[in-house]
Formats: sequence, C-alpha cells, structure tokens
Amino acid sequence: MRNEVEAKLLVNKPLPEDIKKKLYESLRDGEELLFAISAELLMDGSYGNSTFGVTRSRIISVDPTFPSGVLTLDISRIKNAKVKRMYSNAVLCVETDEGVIETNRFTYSVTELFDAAANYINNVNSGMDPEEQLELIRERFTKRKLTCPKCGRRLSRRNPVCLKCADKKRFATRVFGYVKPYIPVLIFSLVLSSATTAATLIPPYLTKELVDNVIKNGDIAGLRKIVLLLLGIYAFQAGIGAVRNFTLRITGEKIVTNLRNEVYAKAQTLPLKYYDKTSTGSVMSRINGDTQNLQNFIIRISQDVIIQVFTMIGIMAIMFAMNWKLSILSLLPVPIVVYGSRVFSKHIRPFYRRLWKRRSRISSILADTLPGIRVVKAFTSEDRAVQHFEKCGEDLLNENIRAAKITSAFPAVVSFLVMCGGLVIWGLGGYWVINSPDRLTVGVLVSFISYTHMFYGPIQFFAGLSDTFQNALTSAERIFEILDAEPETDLGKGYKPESIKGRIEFRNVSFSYESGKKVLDNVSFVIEPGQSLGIVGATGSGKSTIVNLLMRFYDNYEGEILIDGIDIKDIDLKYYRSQIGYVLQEPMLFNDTIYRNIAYSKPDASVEEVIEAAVVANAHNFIKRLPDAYDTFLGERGVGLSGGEKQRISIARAVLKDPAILILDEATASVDSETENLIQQAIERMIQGRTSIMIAHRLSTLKKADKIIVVDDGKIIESGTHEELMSLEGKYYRFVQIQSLSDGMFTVRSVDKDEYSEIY
Amino acid sequence: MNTRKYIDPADMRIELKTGISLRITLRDGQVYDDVEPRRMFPISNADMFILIVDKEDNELFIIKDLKQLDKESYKNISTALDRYYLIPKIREIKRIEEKFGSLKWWVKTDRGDYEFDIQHRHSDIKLLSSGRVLIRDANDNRYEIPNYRKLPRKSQYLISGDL
Ligand SMILES: Nc1ncnc2c1ncn2[C@@H]1O[C@H](COP(=O)(O)OP(=O)(O)OP(=O)(O)O)[C@@H](O)[C@H]1O
Ligand SMILES: [Mg+2]
Repeated sequence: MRNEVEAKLLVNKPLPEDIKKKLYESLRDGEELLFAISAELLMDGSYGNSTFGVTRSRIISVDPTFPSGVLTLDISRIKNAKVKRMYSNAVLCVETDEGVIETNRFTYSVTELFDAAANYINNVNSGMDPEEQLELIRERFTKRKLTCPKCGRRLSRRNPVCLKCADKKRFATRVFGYVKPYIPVLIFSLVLSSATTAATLIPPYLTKELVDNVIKNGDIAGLRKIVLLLLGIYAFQAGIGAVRNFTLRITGEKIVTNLRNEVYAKAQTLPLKYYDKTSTGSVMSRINGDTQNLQNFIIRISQDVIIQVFTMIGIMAIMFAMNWKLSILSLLPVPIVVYGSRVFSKHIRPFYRRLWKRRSRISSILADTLPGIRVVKAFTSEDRAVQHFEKCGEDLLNENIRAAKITSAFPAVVSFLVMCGGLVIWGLGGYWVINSPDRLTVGVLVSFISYTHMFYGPIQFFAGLSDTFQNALTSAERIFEILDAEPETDLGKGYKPESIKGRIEFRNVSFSYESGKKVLDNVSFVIEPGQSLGIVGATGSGKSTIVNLLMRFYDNYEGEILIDGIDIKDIDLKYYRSQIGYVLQEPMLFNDTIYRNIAYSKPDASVEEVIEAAVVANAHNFIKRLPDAYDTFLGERGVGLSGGEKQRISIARAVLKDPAILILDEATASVDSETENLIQQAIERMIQGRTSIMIAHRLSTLKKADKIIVVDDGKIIESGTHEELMSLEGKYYRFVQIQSLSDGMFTVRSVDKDEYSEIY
Repeated sequence: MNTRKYIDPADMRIELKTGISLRITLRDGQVYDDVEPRRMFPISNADMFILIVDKEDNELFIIKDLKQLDKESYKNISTALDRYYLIPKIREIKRIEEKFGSLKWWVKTDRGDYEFDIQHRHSDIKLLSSGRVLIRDANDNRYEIPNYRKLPRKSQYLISGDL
C-alpha cells in the first residue's frame, strides 16, 4: 500500500529513509501525501536532510532541528504563504493568526519548487480547484526532471537528448574532423618530410666513410665525391623543406579559418543567458587565440609525430646494424625520459588553464575599456586603467614564470640525460676503439655519436609534446565549450504561421535572471491586434524584461506568452523574431555607414525604402545635412551621432522592417523638446496599424496608447487607459504629476524610488 | 552632506527576535521593531555599512561599523546576518568531476558536506588577490574558500587549474 502511494508521490529527489519514515508516521489515517520537497538545508543553516510535504489538509515539515523533528500545520489556518529570499538561501514563511512561522529553510536549488508550493497553498485557500493547482505543481516537478537521458545534464526544455550528447565525439575524433579535408595535402607534405628526414640519415654514414676510408687512404677523388654528395643532400633538404613548410602553412591557415568561422557562427546562436555569464573578451580570445593555438597543434600532431616516429625507427635500425651493444647502451635513458614526461604533463596541465584564464582576463579588459575610452578619459582615469591592466599583466607574467620554471627544467633534464648517454658511448666506445680497433673503428664511433644525438631529437620532441599537447588541450576545451554550448532552443523550428495578426498575451509569467531575485511576478496582460500598449514603471521595475521575454531572449520563464493564441516557443524562432521590430533601449549601431545601419533590418531593401524609413523616423532631415549623408561612416557602436540621432536611426531600422509587432523601449536620454517632438512624431507614425508595445519614460508619449500597464517591482499594479489611470489617482497619476512638476525635462527615471517615496 | 541616516552604534541596543528579525532601541527611546539587517558589502566588508530595513524593505538607517556596538548587540545582529547570508566556507574539496566544461564539486564546508555544480568555470570561480576564492554554483548559491593556500594539498591541486 505504502509503496504504491510512494510511487505516485511527487518529489524532487528520492527521500532518505529516516525522513520518509517521519513523514509517513505523521500522516493521519487516510491522509495522502501529494508532494514533497527535499531541501538539504536545516533551520540552523547547516546542510542536512529536511523535507517539506503537503497533503490535502496539512503541511508537514521534517527538520531534525525542530524540537520534535516534525512540524505540521493545517492548510486552512494559513493566511498567506510566501518564500522569503535571503542570500543563497530562503525560507518558507507561513502566516497564521498566531504569527509567522518559518517551516523550511533551503538553498536556491529548490527555491522555485517552494515558490510553486506557496502558490499552491495560497490558491487552494482562496478557493481555486485543488486538482488544477496540483497539476501545476506536477508540471513544475516534471520540468525539473527534464534531464538528458545520456549524461543526466539538466535540459532547459523538452529536447530528446542534450546537445552535448547528441554531438559528442572524442577530442581526437573531433580534431580529426577539421583535418580530414586536408588529408591529401598533409600526406603530400608528409612524403616530402620523409624524404628530407631520410636525407638527414645519410650524412653521418658518409662521415664514417670519410673517416675510416677516404681520409685514411688519402683518396682525393673519393673525398671530392663525398663532399659533392653531401652538398647535394643539403640542397635537396633545403629545397624540399621550403616546399613542405609552405604547404603546411597554407593548410594550417585554412584549418584555422574554418574553425574560427565555425566558432564565430556558433557564438551567434548562443542565448543571451550565455553572454550574461561569459565576458565577450573571453569569447573573443577563443575565436582569435585559441583557434590559432589549436592549429599549431594539429600541424604538429599530423606531421611531426609521424616524422619523428619514422626517424626514430630509421636511426635505431642503422644503429643496431652498426653495433648492437652500443645501441642498447644509448637506449638506457629512454625509460626515464618517458616516465618523466608523464609526470611532467600531469603537473603542467593546471598551469595552462591558469594561464588561459589570465590571458582571457586581459582580453576582457581590452574588450571593456577600449570601447569605453570616452568614459576613461572623461574621468581622467587613464592612469588607473593602465595600472589595472599592468596588474593583470603582472599576474599573467608571474604565472608564466611559474610555468616556465617547470617547462624549462624538464627539457633541460632530458638534454642532460641525453648528453650523459653520449658520454657513456664516448667513454666505452673510445675504450673499445683504443683496445680493440678491429671490433670498433673510429669512423663507426663518430657516426654512432651523431646518430645517438639524432636519436634523442625525437625523444626530446616527445618529451616536449605533452607540453604543447596540454596547451592545445586547454585551447581545444575552450573552443569546444562554445561549440558544445546549447544554442537557443528552437523547438518550433519550421513552424511559420501564415500571418501574424499581433494579438499578444502574457499568461501568469514569472521570471528571474538569477535565483536570488524575482524580476517578474505573475504578469498577465493582453494586447489586441493593432492596439498599442504602454508600459510605465520606475527604473528597474522589469519593463525591458517583459520585452526580453517577448523577444525570446530568455526562455526559462514560468507561465506562457502567446501570439495569436500560439505559444511563442512553438513558432520558428527566426521567423518569429522577423515579425517584430524592436527599438532597443540603448540604440546599438554598428561600425558601418548610416545607410547600411538602417538597412540592417532588411538588407535587400531598395534605396527608396530606406530613405522613406528615415523620413518616417524623422532622421532623413539630419542625415541629408551630413557631408557624406547616407554614406556617413559611423564609428564603433555608432560614435559620431548624438543620442537623439542614434535613436532615430534605430527607429528607422525598425520602420524599414515593416513588422507586425513593434516594440519600442524608449531611451532615457533626455533630448530637447524639439527632438522629443520629432521622435514623438516618428513613433506615432510608426505604430499606425500595428500592435505595439511602448516603454516610455516621457508619459506624454503614452496618452494615446490604447492601454497602459504600470509595473512595480515585477508586478502589474495598475492597468487601463490614460484617463482611467488618471482618475484612479494611483501610481500612474503620481508619475504624471512628478513629470509635469519637473516641467517635462526630467523623466521618471531620474526620480529614484526612494526619493519618490520621500516626496509622497 | 549625507542624505542617508547614519546612527551611531554607541547609541543603540539590538535584540534578536525570531529568525533575522531585530528590535533596535535607540538611546532617546525610539524603538524600531521587526527590522532586518542587510550588508551593503557582503563580500568585501561584512561588518561595515549595515543597512537596517523594515519588513517592506524600506531603508531606515545605516550602522557604519558593527564593531562599535556593545557585545550583546553585536552578537545579536551578527546572528541575524549569518542567517540571512548563507555563504558556506569550503574547508576541503574532496572530488571534482568535469563534464563538458561544467564541474561537479564534492566539498566539506563549515556547514557540512555538500555537492554542487558549477556551470561556467571561468566566470563562476573568482580568485581574489588575498587567496580568497568566491564560488557561485549553477543555482546561484554562493560559497567561499577563505584562503585556498590553506586548503589540504590535494584540494589545492584539484582546484589549481581553475584559479
Ligand atoms: N541580464 C540581467 N541579469 C541579471 N539581472 C538583470 C539583467 N537585466 C536586468 N536585470 C535586473 O532585472 C530588473 C529589471 O530590469 P529591467 O531592465 O527590466 O528594468 P526596466 O524596468 O527596463 O528599467 P529601466 O526603466 O531603467 O530601463 C532590474 O532589477 C535589473 O537589475
Ligand atoms: Mg529598460
């Protein structure tokens, strides 16, 4: 019986036996546990097993720090349940007539489940259907359970397997994938390399001939022959070597170009959430530096390794043929070198990671401060910028020094061992030559020494290989991290409704960028096709966030957003976005001409269309007066235009797109009243006949909106037309008052929440 | 000129009610009941510039330096702050597993053993120059290592690549 019940029980993870026992013991006859949340944090803030369970009539909380270990409460006695978010932890507070009780403490890992539980309790108490509410809870739980069947990673949505598993090959296989198209070229250069390498094997042999026969016998003709032969060999080596290097260089550049393009293309598809967490500098250094790093490695591994193996075998064959005893002697240091390089590579690896991190920090500084150079200068903080940079540089240098100690010491030890090997051969071989010249000639000894040194070339190469390898591995990891990152989910790929009429509905949408703070709380509203909606609220209240969700920049929200009754997540992502014109709060222009900046939204637009869009946006008049007019080249991020001008260009961009839905996140930059009028006009023209959302800081813009919602701390607190809201004399009314007080020069933004509450 | 209200720590007595709720009595007899403390510098300076807010999160006043409170008051407000700010201190790292760039850590902390995922190893592990390491897990929970050089050798080795 209990097992059956347990199987049906909703839990976020299996409950420990003792907790389960406590939980079931406190059930009354016939009472059924609906769901339970395992919380992992005790009331005293230590980790441990605690649980929050809900039945139809009661809540049961198990926590060893409670006097009896269990706390139960009738749901009907709860006046309000809410999650109080603290720092890295939160508590569930339930309010009863006797006061507030904290039933459970938990980390952010399960905060969303407790949020859902609190909603359940409140909604059931306010008379909503418990079954429906339980269904919502069930959804929450199953959503959490969405994990990749292969690796167990959490999935953001219902993908079959996670992307990483779908396309996860081994490092070597993947690197090979980039090399594959160039195999013929690589083989060609390999043949060339083999030829030059084989050529290097000959001179020591000729030396032996020279010493033992030619010089000893005074054979001048033989001398001339051998010198010419050597000359020929050197020329051959140089010539072939040049061709080989050229081929390899070209191939390497091609490989790295492909890889770089691929990483860049992938970086475009990453969700904004990724960029919230990763500095653009670190992405840049991957696209630039790491791909280069990997190229060097690919070349090395595809060529040198094979060559070196061949060389090694060739030399060993010759050496053994000449004198097997000496050969064995010269192999003695090999095991030490092999063992040493294993230890070495284990220790060097963390260094490359650390170095990478420091290098990417420097890229981040560059990506940050160079575009912000105006601010740097404005606050005369050039020196500080330099100091900060120097400090990071020093940090990198120190780390490099530490790494260099190891990376230089190891090859030095290897060289030393090699030299020792050579000495042994000199010593023993010399002894043999002196004592029994018939067993070993001077010539053989001299050429043997040459071969020994050549033999240790590959050994040293392999010893150093782990160094290059670890470095490349770090770069490869970073590159694959981007290539493997989950792109924006596009489940509705391919579904393109014929036309979008533009009915927008937000249904109980809640969202947080980070667990610590809820940014939208149960937001619901509807905009009918062709209507305009104004959003008003203090700064930071969540206005742009509403738009971010509508744009599908983030999709881990709760609730639903519908367009013409279709969940936006079910529509083809690119198609969907192409239906929306979005004027961003910070106008973002590119380092290009004004013309192309406007045409950005519709690259195939005719010139007339572009000019018309500029006219509608009231931008044409100022553009035509610029010396280069539409050909004016803007600096990075639009440097060269005023704030108001940039705004109008970005409006023109949206107008040109002729979208079904228009979103305008009005910039807060104060502009003179004439420009304000121009922008106002542009906006009015633009929203004609389109569903539009306007986030306006100048409330006058909104007077004509069909509907206005007032957002406060992520919640909609008022909604209606301008007149309705004015007669309500609520927050909107007060906003309007403040703005008319400040003579329309100041915007809502400049009145911060606190000052505002002090005024009223 | 200060627009914020700073109250001299010597002028107040702080009692702990339940959880993080405080009752602060000023020398002139004014009582702030059911108020909560917030750190303005939870990472860089946990004992200075403590904001006192009411239940609706409205700012009441600021205590500049907790150390100047009397012993009892200091203990009370510290208890409340320690409850609000859960930043487990990692004493040992037992194991780190890596899966496609995200990490799973098994750690021993001052609050017991725990395991968590780190999603972005580059941005979520921050080494400060003092040797202090700040960590944020995939669910935005925070942890810290007061000084990584004082960790057991094996732990140091395990994390050295990420510092
Ligand atoms: N990428 C982000 N990561 C984390 N928090 C964010 C992010 N973007 C915004 N926030 C937070 O979300 C809240 C709402 O931000 P939002 O941009 O929606 O405000 P807003 O109403 O548009 O304000 P404004 O009028 O100043 O433009 C703010 O508290 C902000 O700090
Ligand atoms: Mg905004």
